[in-house]
Amino acid sequence: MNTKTILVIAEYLDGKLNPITDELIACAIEITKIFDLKAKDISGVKAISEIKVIHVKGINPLESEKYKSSLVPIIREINPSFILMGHTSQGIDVASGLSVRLGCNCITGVNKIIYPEYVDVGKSEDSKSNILFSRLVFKGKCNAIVGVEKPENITLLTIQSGSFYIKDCCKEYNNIISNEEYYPSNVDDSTISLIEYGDIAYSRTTKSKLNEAKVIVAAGRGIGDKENIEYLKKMAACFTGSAVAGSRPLIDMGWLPYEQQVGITGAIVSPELYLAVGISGSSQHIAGMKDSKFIVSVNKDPNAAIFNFSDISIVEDCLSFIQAFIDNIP
Amino acid sequence: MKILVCIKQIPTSDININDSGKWITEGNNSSLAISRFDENALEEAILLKERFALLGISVDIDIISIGSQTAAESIKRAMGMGADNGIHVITEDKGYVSGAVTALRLATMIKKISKAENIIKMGDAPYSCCPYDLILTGIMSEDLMQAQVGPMLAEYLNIPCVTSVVNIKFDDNLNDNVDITDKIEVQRELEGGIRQNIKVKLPALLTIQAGINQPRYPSLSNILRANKKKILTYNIVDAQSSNSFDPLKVVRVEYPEKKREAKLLNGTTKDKAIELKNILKQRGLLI
Ligand SMILES: Cc1cc2nc3c(=O)[nH]c(=O)nc-3n(C[C@H](O)[C@H](O)[C@H](O)COP(=O)(O)OP(=O)(O)OC[C@H]3O[C@@H](n4cnc5c(N)ncnc54)[C@H](O)[C@@H]3O)c2cc1C
Repeated sequence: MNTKTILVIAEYLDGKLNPITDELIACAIEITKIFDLKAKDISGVKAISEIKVIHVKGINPLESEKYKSSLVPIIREINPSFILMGHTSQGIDVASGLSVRLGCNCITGVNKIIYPEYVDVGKSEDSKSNILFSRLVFKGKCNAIVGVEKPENITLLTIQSGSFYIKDCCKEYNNIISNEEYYPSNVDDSTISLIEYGDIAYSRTTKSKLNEAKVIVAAGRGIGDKENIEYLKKMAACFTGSAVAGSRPLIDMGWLPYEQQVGITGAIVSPELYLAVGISGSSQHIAGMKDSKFIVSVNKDPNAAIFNFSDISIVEDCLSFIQAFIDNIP
Repeated sequence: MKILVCIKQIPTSDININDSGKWITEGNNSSLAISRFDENALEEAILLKERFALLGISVDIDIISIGSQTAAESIKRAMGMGADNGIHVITEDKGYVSGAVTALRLATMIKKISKAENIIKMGDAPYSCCPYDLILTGIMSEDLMQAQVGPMLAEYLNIPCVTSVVNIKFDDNLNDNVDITDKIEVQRELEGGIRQNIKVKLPALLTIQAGINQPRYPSLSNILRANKKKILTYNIVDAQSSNSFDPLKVVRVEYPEKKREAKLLNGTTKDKAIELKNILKQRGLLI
């Protein structure tokens, strides 16, 4: 039986390792467990898989056309079963294009690895065919459980951050994890000369006042109108140490300033209370507020994804609810 | 100058998992719209057209959408906003279509429409064959959220790609006295509001992030103009290439597991407001 290689592409920004890399390793371990389970069933052999973490050096990963071209020969040489990258701005920029160059399967935004019950164990030596992947669809409202038609091909996955964690039991896998540095040279590609990568601008303030607030009252598109931000402010005024915030679309529409955006491209907050009104709960928003101590959500849609992350769920029209809340404060 | 904007029509109503558990059904309030990020891409194309017009450069905007019969409404809306021509590739595929399939279909159509040969062959560096100077897509669709179609299409056409674009600049190019139809300067967004400056030679593909602009409403004069124009219609078989089978399959759909209790409050609006108030008081969050 061949050893299966799961390739983790470590993510760097400004020469610093991004924490998503740990989550990629945790996900690789999940895949390993499935391989090993199957291998045991077939032959009683353990550990038929290895996890290779590669650190590509001497090239700026933000120069994505160059980065893609440099990854192709490295991946061909390693010939992995799976490639894992982050579902981050870098991963989104690189992964899909890379999969076309490699002619491989590509599943983006994976949040869970699934080993289906109905698999006919032992029939095929290739356990990869039996692995399924969960990824969010429809603003995070449901997960599509996806499989690949040609498991013999490489499968490239981008991993949703916040989905996999290194746990204590991961230690026993340390012996199958190896780290390797690569210094690509002579990267050759016709598109590279067509694109010129400039500097990085930290133009928007990265510090947010939201970090000091004990209570955050946040609105999403469900609030309906810019004028209704006033209701939001009135609701926030019911609490001490409170601040008003919003989902990205509200900032994009100019209803609230950027400093008040919560989410992956805004502020990451964890107040005592996060009150979300008219927010659907997309993964990019959830990433910014899921560690709040207590979460209350108001949404007219009983299946809104935000409820999966809430302590209290209120299915209501948000304006009527805010009005009722304000009216019933003594 | 020619710009192509790829748009997708999506359901905006509340959706539920259907009885088979394999896909979703749209709620009673079923309504359809252009996916938001695509609408930003479209608006950006129109803004480019307007700004180029001031410089005496004419821009032609084509819209392409692969979708069911109803997608024609979205194409008409796009033309009402200011796009010039519409291309509709009709398919009744309703479920999950992976990015690779859509990108290859778009590439096949672009090739067919322009009759440019070889643009799908990789490695031949035939980028000059791309009939468009600029191709814009949304960063992802709001329904399938794959963020794949743009970057994959760029690969099939062998043109450079920049994702998550939040700004397209002009003035610098003007000062440089260079040909603005040759190279554009863009900013892409990373996590935490960090931006990367990039100059890219045309033809190129950009995937557009929300916040770059405020999409306009269709204007009456544009709607009237659009009504007079015919949308170029194709059948999905026209977009099929030899290897366009879907590499992915959806086995089922599930509601995500609850990470917290999600205690549901009952009663009238007022009941719920009072109950919430009491809960928050108990927890010392409200005085
Ligand atoms: C790379 C990238 C980065 C991103 N970064 C962020 C980020 O940092 N932060 C962020 O928030 N988003 C971010 N987004 C956008 C994200 O994908 C979603 O589009 C966004 O979070 C949705 O905002 P929303 O919930 O306000 O709007 P929608 O998704 O439109 O949800 C509106 C909700 O309001 C409900 N509603 C409607 N009317 C009412 C009513 N009358 N009463 C009660 N409820 C009602 C609806 O049921 C729905 O659930 C990012 C996207 C990308 C691609």
